[in-house]
Amino acid sequence: MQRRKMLAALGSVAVGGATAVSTGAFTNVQAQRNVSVNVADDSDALLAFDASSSTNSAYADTSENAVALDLDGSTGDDITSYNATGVNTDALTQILDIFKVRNQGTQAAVVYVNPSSVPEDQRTQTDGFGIDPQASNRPNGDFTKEETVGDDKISLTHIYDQDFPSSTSYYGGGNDALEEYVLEPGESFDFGLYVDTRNGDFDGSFDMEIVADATIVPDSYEGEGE
Amino acid sequence: MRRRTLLAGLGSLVASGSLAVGTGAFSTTRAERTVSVSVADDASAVLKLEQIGTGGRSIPSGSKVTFSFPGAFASDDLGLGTDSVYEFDTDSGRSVFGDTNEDEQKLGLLLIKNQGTQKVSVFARDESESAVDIEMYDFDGGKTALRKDPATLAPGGEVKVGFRVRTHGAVSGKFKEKLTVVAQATE
Repeated sequence: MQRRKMLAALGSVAVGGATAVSTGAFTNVQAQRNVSVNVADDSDALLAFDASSSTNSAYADTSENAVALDLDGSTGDDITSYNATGVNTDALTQILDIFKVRNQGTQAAVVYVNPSSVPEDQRTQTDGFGIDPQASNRPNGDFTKEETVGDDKISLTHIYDQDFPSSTSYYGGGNDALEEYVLEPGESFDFGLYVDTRNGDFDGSFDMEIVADATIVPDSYEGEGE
Repeated sequence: MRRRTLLAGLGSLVASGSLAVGTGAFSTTRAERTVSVSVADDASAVLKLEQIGTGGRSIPSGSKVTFSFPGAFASDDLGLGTDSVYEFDTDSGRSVFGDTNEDEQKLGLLLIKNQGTQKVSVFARDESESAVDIEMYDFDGGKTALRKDPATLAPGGEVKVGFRVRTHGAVSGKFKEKLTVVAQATE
C-alpha cells in the first residue's frame, strides 16, 4: 500500500515537470498515463467505517465491503440470538457507537450525513416515524448536552437542516457548529442512530449518504476544543 | 557516497510529491450506506416487554402490552380503594405462592428482557399527573421499586415485575395512566 502511494506520487510529479519544461509547439497530444486506484474495505478506506471495536457493532453488517446498518435482525448476529427482530414500537431508541468513522486521510474534514439522503417521511421531526444518524465521542467542538446518553452526541444531519452544511443554525451556528463535525487525520467519532417510533412505524431500508468534505473546514478551526 | 546522494534525492522528491499531490488527501468523499430498520412487537423487540398471565391485568393487545387494574375481566363496579397502596404480584386468578410449576412461571405481570447488546439499567416513570401513582417493582428483588433503584440487565438478562398502585386522594372513576419504561446503557 505504502509503496503504491509512492509510485503514484512519482508519476504525477513527472507529468507536471513535462508540462512546465515543454518548449515545442503542438496541436494535439494524447498521452495515456496509468492511474491505479485501490478500493479498500470500509475499515481501511481514507474515510473509514470500522465496526471492529464498537460497543454496538452487532447492528453493523460487515459481511460485504461496505458496512450496512442492520436494525431488523436480518443478519445472524447478537440481536437474533435473543430473538429480537427490531426496535421497540412506541419508543425512542438510541443506539450509539455502531461503528467508528475515522479520517485516514491527510487533511482535516467536516464529516456529516447529507440531510436530503434521509427520506422525508423517515425524519425525526415529522409527525411519524423518525430516524437520525448521531455522532458521539467526538474529538472536536465545544457542544455538550449533559442530560442524555453520550453527552457530546449531535445529529449528523444537523437536525435535518436542509441548508446544512452551507449554512448552520444548531450547536452554536456558523463555523462554531461546523467545528463540531471536524475530524482531523487519525481522529474518529462513534456513529450511531436515533430511532423514534412514538408516532409511527417503519419497515424497510434506505441509503444514507455519509460525506467527508475537506474544503469546508472553517478557517477559524484551530484544533481540539475550539 | 554517490549512491547515498541518489537515495536522498529520491527521498526528497517523494516528500515534495506528497505535499503537492497529497497521496492520502481527499477533498470530498461521499459514501452511501444502507440502513434497514424493522419495528417489532413488544415481545420481539430489542427491549422485550412480555406480558405474563391470562387474567386480564396485563394484556398483549396488538404490538404493545397494556395493563388494567383491577383487571379487564373485572366488573365495572369493582375498583381499587382510595387512599391505599396496592401491590399486584401476578395476574388475577393466580396464587402468589405458585401451586404448580406452571404457576411459578406466571408470577409477575411483565417480563422485561434485554435483547440488545449493552448492559442497561431499567426503570419506569409514571408520565401522568393524576392522583393515581404507578410504579413497577422487581418481583424477585425484594419488591424494590424500579425508580431510583433500577434493575441492571446484562444482554440476555431479564426481570419480572409487579405493579404498585397508590391511590392517595383519588376520587372514584377511571384513570388512564401512561408508564414509560426506560432502559439506559450503563457504560
